[in-house]
Amino acid sequence: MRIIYTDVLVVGGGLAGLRVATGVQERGHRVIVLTLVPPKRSHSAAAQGGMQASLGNCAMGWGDNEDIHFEDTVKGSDWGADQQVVRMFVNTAPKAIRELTHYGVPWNRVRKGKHTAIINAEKVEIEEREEAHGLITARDFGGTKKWRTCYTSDGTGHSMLYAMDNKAHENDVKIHERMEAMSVIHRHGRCYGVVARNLMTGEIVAYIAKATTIATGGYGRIYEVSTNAIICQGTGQAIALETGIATLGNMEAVQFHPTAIVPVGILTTEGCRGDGGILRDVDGYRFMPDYEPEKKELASRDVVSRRMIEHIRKGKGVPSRYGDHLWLDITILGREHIEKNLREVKDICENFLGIDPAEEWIPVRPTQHYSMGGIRTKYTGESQTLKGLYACGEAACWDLHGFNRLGGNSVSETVVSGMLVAEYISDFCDSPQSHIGISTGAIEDFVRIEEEKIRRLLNNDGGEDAYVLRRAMEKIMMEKVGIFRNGRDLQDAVEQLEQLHIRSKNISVFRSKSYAANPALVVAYRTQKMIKIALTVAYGALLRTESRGAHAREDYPMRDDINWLKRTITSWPDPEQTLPTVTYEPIDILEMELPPGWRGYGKRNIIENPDSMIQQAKIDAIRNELLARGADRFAIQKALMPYEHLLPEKYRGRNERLYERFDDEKDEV
Amino acid sequence: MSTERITKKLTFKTFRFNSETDFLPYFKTYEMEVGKDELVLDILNRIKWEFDGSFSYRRSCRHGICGACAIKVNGKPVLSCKQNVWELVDIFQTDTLLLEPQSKKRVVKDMIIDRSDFWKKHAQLKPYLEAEIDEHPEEEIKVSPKEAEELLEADYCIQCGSCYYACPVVEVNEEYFGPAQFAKAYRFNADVRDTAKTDRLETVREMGPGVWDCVKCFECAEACPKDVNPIEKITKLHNQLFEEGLAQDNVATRHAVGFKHSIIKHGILDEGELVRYSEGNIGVLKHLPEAIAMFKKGKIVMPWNMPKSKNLDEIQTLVKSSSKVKF
Ligand SMILES: Cc1cc2nc3c(=O)[nH]c(=O)nc-3n(C[C@H](O)[C@H](O)[C@H](O)COP(=O)(O)OP(=O)(O)OC[C@H]3O[C@@H](n4cnc5c(N)ncnc54)[C@H](O)[C@@H]3O)c2cc1C
Ligand code: SF4
Ligand code: SF4
Ligand code: FES
Repeated sequence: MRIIYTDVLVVGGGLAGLRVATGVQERGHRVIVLTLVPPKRSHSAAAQGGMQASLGNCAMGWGDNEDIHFEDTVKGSDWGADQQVVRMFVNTAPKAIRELTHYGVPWNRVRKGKHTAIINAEKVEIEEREEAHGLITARDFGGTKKWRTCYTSDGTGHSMLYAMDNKAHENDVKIHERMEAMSVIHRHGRCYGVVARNLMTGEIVAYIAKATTIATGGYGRIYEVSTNAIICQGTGQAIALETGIATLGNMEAVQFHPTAIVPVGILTTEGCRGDGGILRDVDGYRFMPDYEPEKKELASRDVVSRRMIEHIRKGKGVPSRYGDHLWLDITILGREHIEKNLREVKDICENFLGIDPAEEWIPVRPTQHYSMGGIRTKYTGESQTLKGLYACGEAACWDLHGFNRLGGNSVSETVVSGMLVAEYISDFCDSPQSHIGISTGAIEDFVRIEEEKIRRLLNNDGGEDAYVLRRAMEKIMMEKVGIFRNGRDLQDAVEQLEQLHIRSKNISVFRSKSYAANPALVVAYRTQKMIKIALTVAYGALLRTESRGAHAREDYPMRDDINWLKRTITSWPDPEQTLPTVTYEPIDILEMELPPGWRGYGKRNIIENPDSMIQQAKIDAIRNELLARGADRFAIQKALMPYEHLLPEKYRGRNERLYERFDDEKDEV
Repeated sequence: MSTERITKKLTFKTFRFNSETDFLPYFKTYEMEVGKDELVLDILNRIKWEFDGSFSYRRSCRHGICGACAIKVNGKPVLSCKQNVWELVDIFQTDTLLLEPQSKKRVVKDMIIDRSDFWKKHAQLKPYLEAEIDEHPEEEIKVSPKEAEELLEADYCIQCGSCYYACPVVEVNEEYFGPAQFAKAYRFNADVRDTAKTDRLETVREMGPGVWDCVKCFECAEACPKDVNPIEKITKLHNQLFEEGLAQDNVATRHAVGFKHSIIKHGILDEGELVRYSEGNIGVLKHLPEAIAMFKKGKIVMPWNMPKSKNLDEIQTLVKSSSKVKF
């Protein structure tokens, strides 16, 4: 048996994982990153459109600040987000982007003078300020009041991930590639690392650490069609769930992106619409203004996706061999713009559709895209129930996105949460509580369990075929746990998935019996985990009898702030149970800085909670009083919902902008 | 709506090898009906799902951004998730396609190769920005759009290795850094924020591993799925070496200087020169006719043959700065 000891173990080499790793290493802790693929191949590389940070450099972003970013994010989440976390995030995002600049990300820059842009299908002239020349520019994205999404053409994730990985290289961060975390090692409510399997040799290794971070990305691949990479299979969430102690949050909150190409489900970035692209139906008619007169194509993703499906259901879809779709028209942006700022989109259209998007419309349909749910953590990234286990990035639910994430907030979150969690972990490692109290014998038990599982899969003859089970699961999720959900389908889905789960205990590996590099074996054990994750999603969706953000129930179309303003918490305490255990964590309106209301887009279908009005009145009173006393926005914010004390000290400072300088004393009234 | 679907019966001769159990690699033949929109990756998937669950290959993003899935088909480097199969049938005018890993001598299993040499060489060129980092950056660094554009396409490289394992010099010269690596070095050297330019230039000017050993065959430009055009970046590194006065007196630089007349006169290098340039590098010689044929077919464009206004300047700078060097 091989045991590898380190201070901090990070599972996942995407943006989030790498940022945690460099952070803790800079604080003097030894770190090892485990990853399925070389970090540069992580799915973060696929992010196209951009990263939100309220820099306010470009003309259309002028006047932007943390307050507006906060409001956009909370509304986007349909009030599901943890507002303190949102505050921490929006205050750190500008710092993160400036840090990334130092790491080498070649952000697109403001060019002084006039340029034209397409807004609401019309050419508009915009003039950029002289003093902003050379600062980071931004584009428009859905659900935001300002142009806030910073980008490098449409290869933002690629540039960010490469810069981050290069940074990790420079710092000599230890990366163990092709190592898959198989289970979490824990004892007496304390996590001590993971059991991992070497995908090339098949060797099972124990990694023991004071703190373990799961940054394994989303679980999109439980759906048949998804914009996610093949490796986004939710195994990180699954191993946390399988501890029986750690919990998952809001697993039913699954985002569908409006514009993935048909049929393969490859994404065309929201930047297409942000830069002025529009949606058209079978008649070539631009339908979104009819549904969303205010934000049109740029309402939040959940809203646009639903409107598209509604429109298709009215018979306005474009029929095709692969079902109905709609058109995304970016021809109006002009070839030059497309070749410069949407090159990846152009490439994708040429390669996967054989069309030229500067000339032709792109066939699109809403497609699974993002997992708002994940390992439930405190604001520090630590599991609420399993000490020493941390999570961040898409794998986690610390709860920045609630029931719907805004475009551009995710890559931003990966880096911000990485920065913050690295500090909290370092503090933990510096404390005596981080002592590793597990014997070699106990570690061995965890290793044996995994070895035994593999042996059983390989030796089992005549059992179930993992491919068959996986296809069945993917289909159920697609057909019954999609954009619009209803009780009958969800009930069906849960029952069928439960059966698949039971059958998955009897999987055989048919095609190859090798312990080493054996893709059939990998499919087998991952399928077992994926079905569990699918169950948490479907079951959570069945129980939540309201519509909030991306979770839309046709039989319960109202957002119910009286009964459902709460987070879904899922666990699997007994390995023998065939359905997860679901409980709820309330979200208190009386502690909110922004009480629930209408989002400004989407349907006004709300069962209001009387607390919302009470809290709003309280907030108005405080605000008015402070304004009368001449207080600035920081003082007002602090009075409403203090959060700065939660941030690591080094990230508490204010962010300067061209229009907002803090030359003197930074302290507030 | 018609639901007719036309397929072609194709044969895939597929390279199989397991370094753990097989003594020698072998080819296994799979026959399939292949539709018009199927990609090479679909074929790899089908081999795994329909024929042999142990068949191994890499892929992740499946839309040409993670760089994991590069292989060779009939010798042509492709990203399997982006390459349409019928198109290959068209190019090669055959119903039999040969699926091979990028480099057979580095195979671990089937399509999977050990790319550690690729990554290691990459790491040697300081592939990161060296700049003072302020822990609490409150202000941004300004980079004018013009300066930002200097990086050209070099930042788009997805490190798929297609260029590297297609490069004839890598094949015969183990120490040669390789096209992707040079493109990366250029990417950071061209970044105004960076402070390690000289270090990198001192590394890339070495004879053997360095830029002078490139034989300008353009295989890398041809192979690259992201239009990074590594050879163009190599030329720019040559340029930087002269500009910074870091070009040393050696065969290759002298050669480069000798080229200047040819360049000024013809705008392109003549083939005779090219052959002499690579003398002694036998493995490369055999490759030249192909490169030249490709050039003649107009498949590759010499950087100095691109729209005049832009590239003539560049050639002139190169010529000017190389003339300053005394040998
Ligand atoms: C096509 C597309 C476009 C997008 N565009 C944008 C955008 O424009 N803006 C935006 O903000 N967001 C965007 N997103 C979302 C965003 O890219 C992701 O949410 C984010 O990058 C996730 O980063 P991460 O670090 O959490 O995870 P990932 O980058 O997914 O990394 C996960 C890592 O975990 C490793 N791993 C997984 N499981 C295991 C295991 N069991 N053991 C060991 N290692 C494991 C993997 O190897 C990988 O290194 C986009 C997403 C997609 C799919
Ligand atoms: S041009 Fe130079 S780097 Fe490119 S493939 Fe040929 S020899 Fe290699
Ligand atoms: S330069 Fe092109 S071919 Fe070479 S590794 Fe980069 S993307 Fe691949
Ligand atoms: S699978 Fe990512 S580039 Fe092909």
